[in-house]
Amino acid sequence: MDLFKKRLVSLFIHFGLLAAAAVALLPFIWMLSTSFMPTGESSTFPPRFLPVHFSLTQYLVLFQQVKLGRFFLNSLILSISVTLISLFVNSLAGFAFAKFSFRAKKPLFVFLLSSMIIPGQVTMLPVFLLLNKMGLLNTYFGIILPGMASIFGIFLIKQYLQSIPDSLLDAARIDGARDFTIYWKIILPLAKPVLVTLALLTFMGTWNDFLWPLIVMTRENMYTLPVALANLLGEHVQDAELMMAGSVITIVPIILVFLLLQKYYIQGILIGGLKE
Amino acid sequence: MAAIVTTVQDYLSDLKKNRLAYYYITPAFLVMGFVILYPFLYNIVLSLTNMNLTHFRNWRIIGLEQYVRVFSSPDFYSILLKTIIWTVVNVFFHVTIGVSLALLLNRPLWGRSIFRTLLILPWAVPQYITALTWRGMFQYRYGAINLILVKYFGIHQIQWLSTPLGAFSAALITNIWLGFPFMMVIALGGLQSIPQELYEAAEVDGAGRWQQLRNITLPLLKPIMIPAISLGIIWTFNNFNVIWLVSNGGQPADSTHILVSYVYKAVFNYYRYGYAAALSMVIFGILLIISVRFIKQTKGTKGAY
Repeated sequence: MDLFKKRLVSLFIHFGLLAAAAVALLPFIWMLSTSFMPTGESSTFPPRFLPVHFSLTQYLVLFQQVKLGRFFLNSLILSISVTLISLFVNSLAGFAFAKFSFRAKKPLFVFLLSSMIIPGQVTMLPVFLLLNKMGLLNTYFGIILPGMASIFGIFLIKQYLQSIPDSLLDAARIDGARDFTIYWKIILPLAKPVLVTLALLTFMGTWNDFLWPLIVMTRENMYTLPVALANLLGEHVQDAELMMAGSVITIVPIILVFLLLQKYYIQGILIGGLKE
Repeated sequence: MAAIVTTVQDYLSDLKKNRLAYYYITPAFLVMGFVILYPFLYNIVLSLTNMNLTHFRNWRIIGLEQYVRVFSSPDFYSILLKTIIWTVVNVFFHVTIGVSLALLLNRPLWGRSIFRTLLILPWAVPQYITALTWRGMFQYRYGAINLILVKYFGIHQIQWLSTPLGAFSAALITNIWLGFPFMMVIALGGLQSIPQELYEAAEVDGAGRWQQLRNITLPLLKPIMIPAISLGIIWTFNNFNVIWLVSNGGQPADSTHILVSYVYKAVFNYYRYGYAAALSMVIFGILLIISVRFIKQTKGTKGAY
């Protein structure tokens, strides 16, 4: 192919990608730009895309009046505890499914996979009633308990561990390592890449979760960021600017985490073909 | 009878032999029992009762009446149709856009990793924020979409959120935006696994780019995309957030529901617990049929599961 034609093709591809990227970024730009407008500017006529009077009012309101700091802390505590606990529970189960041959293995695994198609709406009400009976509403534990294990996590770890040769484990056994030591000293270090992936997915999933915290956390000091944001929308119906500033604060940490660790994120999608 | 006894004995001895494995899976299965198995069984019982706001404590078993009610309501069929349209259109665009972008990105290109990151970004954002932001952008007078349509394309403003078709399309566009990165990542992974020699051989044989795409790339991508597409179908079918938040709970006048949002409305707005439980069992049945077909298909193309 001659050089000119090649250049032209490359230009064309860049143009296409640029257009796609612009569409992908449009909501972020709109969100960011609206969040820097003083109250009411986004609904003046003629409508505008960029702020005329650049202002930080919305952010000040969020931290001084709305006490967003507390909600931020709640989200952080929950995301970290769910991530750590579920890593432990899922990796234990994944280890058992990958490296043991026990009688109930196949039926249990089939049970796990088939329960993936049960819609969340089916299980929500019964779990809520149960948590209510146990007095776990408005506690961190009400969010942590249902998040402690995930089918996807077990599946991901099992797939990964299956690629580790059995001879490694046998060698450790011969050296006298006991089974929990094998899990702790051999399996966990070997599984580090997949654990990082799963940690990232779990953290993002918990941080971004909306419906479940909305149902479980009804007392204001227990709100997570998403719930606080939704309530903001309820109280300040007209206040699109405040809402968008709240959205920016919610997504900035998660986008930073994502940008830093996106390699693992993509790896996770490719191993499991899933997102939860 | 004797067979059952030996099976039970088998399991008991296995329980002893592989004690450790059972210990390891116990925590996970306790949680699963709590969040999936128990609620699921509870839901089955609920679907056979008349529980609703007036019969909340004094509910009783009424058999299959709620199921009859589900299947005899004309709403069910129109919403099922909408759900199917919703799923098919979404997944079609997710795959088409995702695979096209993956093809563009799968070559040496200036700024490739930047483009890739930007294009996956929609996926990192919480769905409810995406949905609410898009809802704002679809606003008739001040929203970004109409702003751009009028200014750069000279099209008249569109009544996005106040007409049934407009609201449904708005939700569709939002969800297409949300879902293509997943398919793109999968397709990128798939493309990288196609051996380069195939293309070299094709070039020697004089096959053009188009022929290479049709005869090498797409057929080899297919087995990788099929499981992803099947998952995509299940998620889209069950995607509550986008349709609910963009249309603000099915507005205008409950005309933009898909099955899951309709169930949610029956539970949390109308308190028709028995009816909603029956409806969600029907949804489960539909998904079960789709999934079984998908597993068969995957077996046919891959044989690896």
